[in-house]
Amino acid sequence: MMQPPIPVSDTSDIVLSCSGLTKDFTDIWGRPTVRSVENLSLSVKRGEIFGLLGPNGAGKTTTIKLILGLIFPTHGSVRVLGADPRDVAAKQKIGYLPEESYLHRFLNAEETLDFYGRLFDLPREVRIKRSAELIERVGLKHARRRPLKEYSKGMVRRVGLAQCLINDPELILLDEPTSGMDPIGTREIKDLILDLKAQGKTVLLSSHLLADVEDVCDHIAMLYRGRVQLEGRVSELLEVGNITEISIQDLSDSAMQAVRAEAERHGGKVVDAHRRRERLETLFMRVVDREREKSEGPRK
Amino acid sequence: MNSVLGAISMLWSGLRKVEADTHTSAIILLWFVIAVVLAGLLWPGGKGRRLARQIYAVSVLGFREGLRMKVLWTVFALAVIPGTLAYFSDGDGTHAGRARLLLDACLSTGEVLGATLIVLLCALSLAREIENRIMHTLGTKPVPRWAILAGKALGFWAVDIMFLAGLTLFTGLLVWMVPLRAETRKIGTLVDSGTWTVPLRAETPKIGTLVDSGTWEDLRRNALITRTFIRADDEAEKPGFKFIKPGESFAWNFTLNPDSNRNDPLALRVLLSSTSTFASHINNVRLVVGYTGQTPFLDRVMTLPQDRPQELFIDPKYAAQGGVMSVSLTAEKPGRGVPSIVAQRPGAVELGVTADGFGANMLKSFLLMATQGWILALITTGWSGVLSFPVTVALGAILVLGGELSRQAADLLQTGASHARAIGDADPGMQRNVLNNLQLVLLLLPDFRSSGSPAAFADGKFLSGWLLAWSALWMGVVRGFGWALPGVLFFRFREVGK
Repeated sequence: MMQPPIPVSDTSDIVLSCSGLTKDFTDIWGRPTVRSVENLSLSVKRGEIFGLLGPNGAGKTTTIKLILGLIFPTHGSVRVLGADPRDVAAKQKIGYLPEESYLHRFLNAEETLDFYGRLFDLPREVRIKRSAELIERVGLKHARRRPLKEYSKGMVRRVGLAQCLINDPELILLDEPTSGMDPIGTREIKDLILDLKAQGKTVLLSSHLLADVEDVCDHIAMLYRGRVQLEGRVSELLEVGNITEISIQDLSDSAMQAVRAEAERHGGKVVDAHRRRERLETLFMRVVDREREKSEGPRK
Repeated sequence: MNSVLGAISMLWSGLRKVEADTHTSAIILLWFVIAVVLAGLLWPGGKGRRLARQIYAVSVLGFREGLRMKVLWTVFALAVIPGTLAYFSDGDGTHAGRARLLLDACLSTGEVLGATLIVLLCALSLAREIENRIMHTLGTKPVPRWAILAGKALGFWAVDIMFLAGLTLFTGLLVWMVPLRAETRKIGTLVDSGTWTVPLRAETPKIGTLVDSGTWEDLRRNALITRTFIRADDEAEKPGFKFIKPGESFAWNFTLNPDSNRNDPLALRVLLSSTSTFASHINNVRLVVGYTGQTPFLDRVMTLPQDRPQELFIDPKYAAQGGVMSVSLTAEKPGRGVPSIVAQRPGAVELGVTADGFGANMLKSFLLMATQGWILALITTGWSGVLSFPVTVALGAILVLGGELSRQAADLLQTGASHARAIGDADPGMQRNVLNNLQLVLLLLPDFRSSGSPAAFADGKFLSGWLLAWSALWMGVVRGFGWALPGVLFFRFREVGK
C-alpha cells in the first residue's frame, strides 16, 4: 500500500511524523468497534517539547502507542527518527514513560534500571553510573534497594521516569507524566522536562492537565474524539493580540487611577485591573521548601 | 511441481531414515553445524553478541520470576511425595525392589511434573505480562520480540533444570539410603510367595545373590546397574508368538561376548503369558540355563509371574566365559487345567549385559527430562504471546499427552496387526494404511519416547548417549523449533498495547 506523504517540507529536522493516522479497534471477528484516532497528521521537530492535549478518551495514548509500534495503524503512516516504529534500531534512541508505570514489582529500583540498561546493551559501568544518577535525580536514593511493590504510586512513577531515560534517548515520549505525583513531584518533572529540552532532547508529552502543558510545551496539538482540533505554537495560540498586560510593582491606588485615565485618553479600554495573585502551586512549593529547609537544610 | 514434491519426499524419507538409524555421523555433523553457527554469532564483534546479552538479561529476569511463582514450590512439594512414600513402602520386600520402586516413582513423577511445571511457567508469564501491561514498557525497548520469547524460554527452562536437578538428587539420596533400612520380609516369605526365587536344588549352584544382605554393593550390583538387553540370535527374523504346550520345551540362544560384561551379574529377564489369561502366575516352569555343549549351571523348576517381568541375576563368573548361552523353558507336564506358555518374540526372554552405572544413568535420566523441558519451553513460550493462558496450557497438554497416547494407540494397532498376521487372519493392506497415516501425523508431534522414557532407568534399560544426542537434536531443534516458530511469527505481528 502506498504511504501518504509526510506533510513537511524539510524532513531533516523532523524527529517524528504521522500522516493520515487512523486507528480502528475491532472485535474478535475483525469488525470495527471504535475509531480511536482519525486522520491524524503531525510532525515534531528536534529539540522541541510537543504537547498532546485532550480530554479522557481523546486518543492521546493510542497515538503514542501507534508511534511506538505497540499497536498498528489501520490507515496512515508513522516515521520515528526516520524509521518505522517497529524498527529495533530506532527504539535504541527512544524513551517511553507509559500512562502507568508497568514494571516488575519484585525488582528494586537499581535492578529495574539495570535490567532496562541491559536491554539497551549498555556496558556495565555505564549502567551503574547512569542508574545512580537517575535514582538520585528522581529522588529515590533512600529507597533504591526496596522492591517496587513496597513503593507508593508516585515512587513507582519516578522509577518509570528513570527507566525511560536510562538509554539517554533522543526522543522521549511521556504519557501523563505527572499522573499520581504530588505537587513537588509534578514541579520536579516539569523541571526535568525543561532540562531535557536544554540538553537538546525532543519530548512528546501527553496530558489533560492544561497547566502542566502550558508550563513546559513549545508546541501543542489538541485532540478531541481522535481528531486534531487545533495545532500550533503555545506562544502563538495563547496570545491575545489586542490586549496588553503591564505589570507594575508598588503602585498606589491614585497612581493606578492615573494610569487607567491615561490609557482611556489614548482610546484604550481597561478590561481588568487587579492585584496579582500568586499561583497556588508557587505558594505550596514555598511552604514545603521552607519546612524542608528547617528540617533538612537548604535544597541543593 | 512433481520434482519439488519428489525432492520434499526424498528429504523427508532421508530424515526418517536418519532418525530410525540414529547414525552417529549424522548426529555429529548436525551438532557440529549448530555449534559453528552459534560460535559465529557469538564471536567477539559478531552481531549475535548483543542479542545474546539481551536474551540473557530477559532469561535472568524470567528465572527470578519463575523462582517467585508459587506453582514451582507446589509442584516440588507434590514431586517429593511419591518418592517419600516409595521409600517407606516395602515394595517386594528386598532392597533391590525398593530401589526400583523409588526410581520408578521419582523419575516418573519428575517426567510428568517437570513437563507440567514448564508448561505452566511458560504459559503464565507472557500472558501475565501482556495483561498487566509490562509489555507496554518491554515492547518499546530495542529487543526483537523473538528474543523476548527466547529469553523467557531459557529462564524458565533454567527453573525446570533446577527442579529436575533437585528431584534427581533427592532420588539419589533416597536410593542411597535404602540399605540403611532393615529387610521387613525374610527370604523365606519371598520363596513361599513364589514371586522372587525358589529353593535351589542341591546340585545347582546358587545364581546371583539376592539383595537381602543390606549392603550398598549388593544393591548396586543387582538393582542400580543398567543393562543392555540382548535378544536371542534368531528372534528378529521370526517375530510372532510362540506357544509352548504342556510338557514341551523351547530354547533361546544368546551369543555372549565375555568382554562386554564388567564383572557384574547378568540379568535374565523373562516376560511370559499363558493361555490361562487371568492367572497371576505360571506354575512349574522348568528353566535350564547353560552354555551349549556343557552341563547347565542352572536347572530349576519355578513359578513365574504372568505378564510381568521377572529378573534373575546370574553370577558374573558364568558371564565371563563367553559363547552361546542357551535358555530353555519347559511348560508344566500335561494335566487338567495346565495352560500353554505364550512367549512373544522378540522380547519374552532377554539377557541383560552391564552397560552403565547408577550415576551415569541418573545423569541420563536427568538429561532426558531436561530435553523434554526444553522442547516444551520452546513450544509453550513460542505460543504464549499469542494464545491465552488456558489455551497455551491445553496446547502443552496435547503435545505431551496427546502425542504419547496416540503413539500408544499406534503401538496397540501395530501389535494387533502383528498378531493377526501371525495367526493368518488379517487384511494387511487396510491396517497398514491406517497405521502409515497415523504414524505420519504423529511425526509432527514431539516424541518423548524416541530416546526412551526418563523412567526407563527404573526398568534397567540402557540408554545410549548417541540416542540422547539425537533426541535433543531431532526433538529439541527440529520439532521443538518447528512447533514454536508459528507462534513466534504470530507474536511478531501481535498488538500488545491494547
